[in-house]
Amino acid sequence: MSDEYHREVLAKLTELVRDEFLDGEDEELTATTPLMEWGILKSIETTRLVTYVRTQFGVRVPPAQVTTENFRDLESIAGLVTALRG
Amino acid sequence: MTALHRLVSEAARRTPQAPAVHDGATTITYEELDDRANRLAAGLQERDFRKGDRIVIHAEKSADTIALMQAALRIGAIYVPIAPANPKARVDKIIKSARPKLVVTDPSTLPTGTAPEIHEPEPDDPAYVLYTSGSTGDPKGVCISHRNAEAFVTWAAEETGLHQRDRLSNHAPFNFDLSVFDLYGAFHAGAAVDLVPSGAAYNPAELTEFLVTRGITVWYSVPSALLLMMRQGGLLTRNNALRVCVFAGEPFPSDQVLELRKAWPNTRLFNWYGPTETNVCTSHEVHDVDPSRPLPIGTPSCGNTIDLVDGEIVVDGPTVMLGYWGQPPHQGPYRTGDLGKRTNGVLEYAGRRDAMVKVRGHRVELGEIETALASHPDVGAVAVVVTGSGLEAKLHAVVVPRNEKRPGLIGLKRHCAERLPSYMIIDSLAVVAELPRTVNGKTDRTALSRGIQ
Repeated sequence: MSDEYHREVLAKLTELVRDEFLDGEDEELTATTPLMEWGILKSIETTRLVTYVRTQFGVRVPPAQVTTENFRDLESIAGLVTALRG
Repeated sequence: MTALHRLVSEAARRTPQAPAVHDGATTITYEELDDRANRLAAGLQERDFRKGDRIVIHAEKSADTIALMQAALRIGAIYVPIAPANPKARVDKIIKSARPKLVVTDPSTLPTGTAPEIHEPEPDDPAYVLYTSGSTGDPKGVCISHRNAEAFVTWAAEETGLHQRDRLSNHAPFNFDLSVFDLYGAFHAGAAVDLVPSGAAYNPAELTEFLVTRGITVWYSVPSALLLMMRQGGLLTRNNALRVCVFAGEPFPSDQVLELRKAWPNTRLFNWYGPTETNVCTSHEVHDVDPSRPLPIGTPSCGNTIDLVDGEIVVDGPTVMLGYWGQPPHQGPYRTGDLGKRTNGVLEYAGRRDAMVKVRGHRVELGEIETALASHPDVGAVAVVVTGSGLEAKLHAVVVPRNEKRPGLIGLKRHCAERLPSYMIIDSLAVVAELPRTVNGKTDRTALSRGIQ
């Protein structure tokens, strides 16, 4: 159940990042692409992603959890969302 | 003239127990900062430093980092701050240019000593070098003297009425000249400076929380940061202790300054202007705002004079830099490359003369990004342009492939990330067969910008 949820979140987030932040381009985009390090998530994108997570999954990410560690790549963001859903 | 390191020792003599630096849960007093700086200075002196030797400080912001900056000045060395976020290739270029005697990544591990001999600088001795974006692809080291810095700090402290009970925020990295006000303005007044945690720069809510709960009385940042806090951090609905709010580094859209003015009727607002080469050379205190006009950059500051030469802002006076590190000294007035207009005796900023641009508050020389991208194996030719403005400003790369392989956005972002600061990573990409050219054979930037808007 949780695995399935995690997969679904990961797929949706991948779609968002690809379509909204990378002009629909998905060459090389994987669950472990370093989003912050390579400038795919800057401050504005990060804020949009947090809003997306709230509206799409009903999960509120507390400001203190918006860290470079938690938002390193799609895998860790999906992990955070899954964990916060409880 | 008061040397920059005397500001701390004099405050330590006047008010030894007053807080000098707040860093998260840690606070150090002026006495402690002065003592730490002296012990580090004594440790450095044992390494046979000579006057004018450089110390590159490539470290996180902390009280120790500030103490090291002080220690460097106390032995007559020149400090060169580099924010940790810079990639290795850029740090290497800066080190190659600065040729430092010492590179410090963790000031808390440095050996210390006792009773250093304190250096008394001449007014024109260099105090620090700030590296900024350069058009050739190499960063340029702006060399600032004690006299330059003191002229700015004394003026700024008076203009904003800094006093001992103030608590200044420090939002900018130490290699960005906005930090000179935060640190030395505080030390000049014997006030405290509070370091914004590095992780909070991503987070408008956390920045707002910082400003509100830490009791900041004087805030200084690029407009982009304030706009994010206003739009996404709920800044305008929170009570705060702010007495003075200063912004600089890029134009602040006047309709949004008006919003700030209305929300904070009792806070003094200032719009400052100046490139790193002159620090702040004009200032405008915001009273009424005309939303149909750009916010003025005001009138000359720090004892400078401003001329408009063919529309270009030309600065002369005590804050004009000594020159670029490793190049002959700068002589005479400084041509900013910025265009200005005088309306009723007050200056307005009217854009850049060339391709150096501001993106979300950072000065970006597009040539530096182009140089980096051109070194990618799949890139034949490249031009980078800015699309949008303010918060929506984006770096757009137009690339001609070198061979059959089509370069991808992620690959090029990665290539930038390994060579440039994060604010210089491209946002979008177009792959084309040929770049448009002007009759002179230059890339036709106007045509490029037109094509994508």
